[in-house]
Amino acid sequence: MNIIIVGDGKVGYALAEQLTKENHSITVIDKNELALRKADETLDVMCIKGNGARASVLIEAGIEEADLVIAVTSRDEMNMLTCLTAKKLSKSIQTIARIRDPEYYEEYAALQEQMGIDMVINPEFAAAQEIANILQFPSAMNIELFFDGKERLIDFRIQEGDMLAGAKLSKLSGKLPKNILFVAVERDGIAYIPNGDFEFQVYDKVYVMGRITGITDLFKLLGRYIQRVNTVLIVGGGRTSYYLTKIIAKLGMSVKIIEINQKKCIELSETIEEAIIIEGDGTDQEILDSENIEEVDAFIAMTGRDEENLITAMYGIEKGVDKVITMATRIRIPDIMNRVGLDSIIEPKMITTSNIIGYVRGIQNSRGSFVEALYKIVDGKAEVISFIANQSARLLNIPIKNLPLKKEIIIACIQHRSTVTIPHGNEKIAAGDKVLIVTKRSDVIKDLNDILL
Amino acid sequence: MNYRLVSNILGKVMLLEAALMIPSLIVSLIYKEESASAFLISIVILAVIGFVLSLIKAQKTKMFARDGFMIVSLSWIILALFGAFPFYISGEIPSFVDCIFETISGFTTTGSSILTDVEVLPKGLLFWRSFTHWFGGMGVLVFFLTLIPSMNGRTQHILRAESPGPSPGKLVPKIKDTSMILYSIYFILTLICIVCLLLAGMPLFDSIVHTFGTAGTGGFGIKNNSLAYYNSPLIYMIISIFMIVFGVNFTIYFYILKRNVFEIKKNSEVKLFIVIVTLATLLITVNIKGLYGSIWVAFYQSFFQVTSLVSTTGFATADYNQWPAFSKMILMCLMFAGSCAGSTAGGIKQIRLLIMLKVIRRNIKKLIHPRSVIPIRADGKLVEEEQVFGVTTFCFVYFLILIGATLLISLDNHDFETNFSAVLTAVSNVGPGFGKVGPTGNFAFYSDWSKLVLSFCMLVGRLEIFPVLMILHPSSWKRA
Repeated sequence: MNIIIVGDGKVGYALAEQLTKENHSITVIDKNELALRKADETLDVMCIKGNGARASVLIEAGIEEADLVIAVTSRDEMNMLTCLTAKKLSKSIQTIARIRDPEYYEEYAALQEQMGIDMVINPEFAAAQEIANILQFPSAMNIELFFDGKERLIDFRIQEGDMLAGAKLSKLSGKLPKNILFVAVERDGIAYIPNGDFEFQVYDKVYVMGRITGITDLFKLLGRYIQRVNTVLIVGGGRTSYYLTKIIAKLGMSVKIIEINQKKCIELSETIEEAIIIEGDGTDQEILDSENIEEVDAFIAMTGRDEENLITAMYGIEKGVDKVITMATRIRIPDIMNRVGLDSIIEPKMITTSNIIGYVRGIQNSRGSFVEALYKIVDGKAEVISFIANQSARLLNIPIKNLPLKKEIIIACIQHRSTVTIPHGNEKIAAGDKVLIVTKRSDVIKDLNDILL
Repeated sequence: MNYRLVSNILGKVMLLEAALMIPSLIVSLIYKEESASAFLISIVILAVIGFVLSLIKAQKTKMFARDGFMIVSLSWIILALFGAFPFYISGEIPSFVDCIFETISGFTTTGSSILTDVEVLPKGLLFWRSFTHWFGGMGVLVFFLTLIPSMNGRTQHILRAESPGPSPGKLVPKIKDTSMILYSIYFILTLICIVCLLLAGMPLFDSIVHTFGTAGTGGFGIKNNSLAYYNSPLIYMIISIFMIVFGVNFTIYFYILKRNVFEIKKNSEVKLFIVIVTLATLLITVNIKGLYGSIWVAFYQSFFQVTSLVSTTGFATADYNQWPAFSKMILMCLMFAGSCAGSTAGGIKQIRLLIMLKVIRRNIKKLIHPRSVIPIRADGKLVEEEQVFGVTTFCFVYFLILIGATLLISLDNHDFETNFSAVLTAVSNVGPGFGKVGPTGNFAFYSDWSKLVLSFCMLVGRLEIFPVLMILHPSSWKRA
């Protein structure tokens, strides 16, 4: 597809990088010459310097032949205007806008209908939702929801002394809960899709798909089950904190927010009634101690500075908090952070990117490809792809264990009507079923038939 | 420098050159010439070395600007060295330095020759000579980019190092598609030119070879007195017009195909180009009218010489050495200027002149209003200060090289007009100069040393100076 990305910031660049890999033609528009230069030198994209909301600039970028405009500049108004102009210039175009300001974002429906923005993405809200998911199931490092939350994909790291360490997957099957499936493993930065012969090692990061009951059983078995989170301490009173508080307060958690800026504190206290707002420096151990950091169930470091988040989060671990979540907006060193014990890392940039990419795949799907949705896992090194099995699929009504699957592909989940099952070999796929595939090679899997040899 | 990556790509470039020799081999076979074996041997040598080099796999495939420049410069040197093989092996040109001079002159679309008698050369070699023009004009690596799967965005550096102009850009987002579009336009225009020449009564082989020379703005002829041999105003006019066509920025044709009138109208470079060609033609016509008697003959001779030199092609239909000094001076200025960026022509390029003129005007204005802030615009767009600085540096280095190289070849003790115009014609990739290297002369009388200096100048001119100068800098050879 021909895609125009307006705004060459962190997200714009990441999007351009991923979408060129998927063989789309990308044009990037930005006012900033320096930002463009990086994209120009490292990516196979066309760069245009200018204001992306201007009709003439969009025409220069080839709006007439474009299929999609993604507006991810730092300003909401710019993004909205860009989408509006784009729609006026080309009737058939799809638009995606990043909208951060809660005041605009609350008018989500109006943005979509009146302004013709097909997808509105709010990075802070998306990040907050991700954190809320983790807080609901604190044993896992990260959680991804599938089939409206019926199935979850969680990941955790194998510790020394775990029963998994050094064990072969085929030997374990009797001992593990039934309705879970190991779908991917990350070891030394490389992703593996495990089969029966796969042997787990200490420090492997393991991705498990399953229902909440099965996963809970697994963690109980590993002796790592963390009780429900009741009290949350947040450092940093940004927009993510605002959204997060709104979501988790409804779930009955009590929230405390430490924010250094007095004005922000007043603003927060006016908009959030559900939380206690504390004015103070969240990186100051004195304040954290006085707010009883040792007693909280979850500690979330999400100030605007990654470095502060890192240090503060490490202090939380030091104090024995069960669940510590760190936000990283700029720094991308998940491996190193994992090693010092910070396992739940929220990257709003990654979340935004993968949401948008999922949407792009969706559009493409409606034009012939059968991919229904795509989620990146293992730091982008593997993908979960969902397909709808139609009559042309060659694997209908055959027990899964008899299917000649390609290497490094797992059928992770099958949704038949409204029942979702984790397949173990005897299940069959019927026409109309939704099938989740885990693979490292999403570039070659365009159709359900592609998973067969 | 990433040695493995560079070796790998150089290997592939050599394989490509082997493939490029095949048409010439076929021509040799058609005319049943002995040169066929020379081509065969060259192809085998290239293929073997190229294959071995291309087996080297790079661990790090990230290409940085530095690697892009290195790849382009080294590729061109290799193309010239191995491209010289057929001449040398066939024994038609006995001195290897002469062979290199001839090949570099071909690939860089200069068209200067060391041959005193072209007509005795076998058809296969004549074809190869002109074919190097065709490929060298648009860029061998640009063609290479259409063949390889787009590795990553970083192949951009190759396109940029090889394409002429201060800021070569893409036409469409993907490099591969951009190269493809450029070569398609090039190919179609070439075909049209061949057909036009055929219709004008030129034999097939001559049409093809002269079209290669025109399209690449090279200027190798196959007759001793260049195009004057045909003595047909119609052929002169056709070639004149096509020399202008190939001297125009190719993005214009892309916009014509897309019917984007807006973009065409605002292209000030093409406007300047047309104004300069018109003005020069008229002035010279008036100036040489006395020599030819008829205004019509004076006009088409003037038009041909002007278009030939401004497009840096270098075909000749008249010995302009005999023209009045005023006309000769205008022609020399045209050799400096060259044509548009993004074409197959050489020279400083019109866009750089345009920017330079605006810089001069700004400097004068600044003397009047010392605190005024004056941006420089071209095509209605702001030219970044860094680019303005790049253009001024480019022009300065251009003159520096002209003077330096003239100094170096002065050791041969030929007259000043000959030496200076020889260097100018080499750096601007034109072909003929003035004096002894004028349209009826050639470069055979220079010493090997001077021929190598001139070869270097041609390479410097074609790759627009900096990529070639870069390989002379020791730090570009370091791994880190």
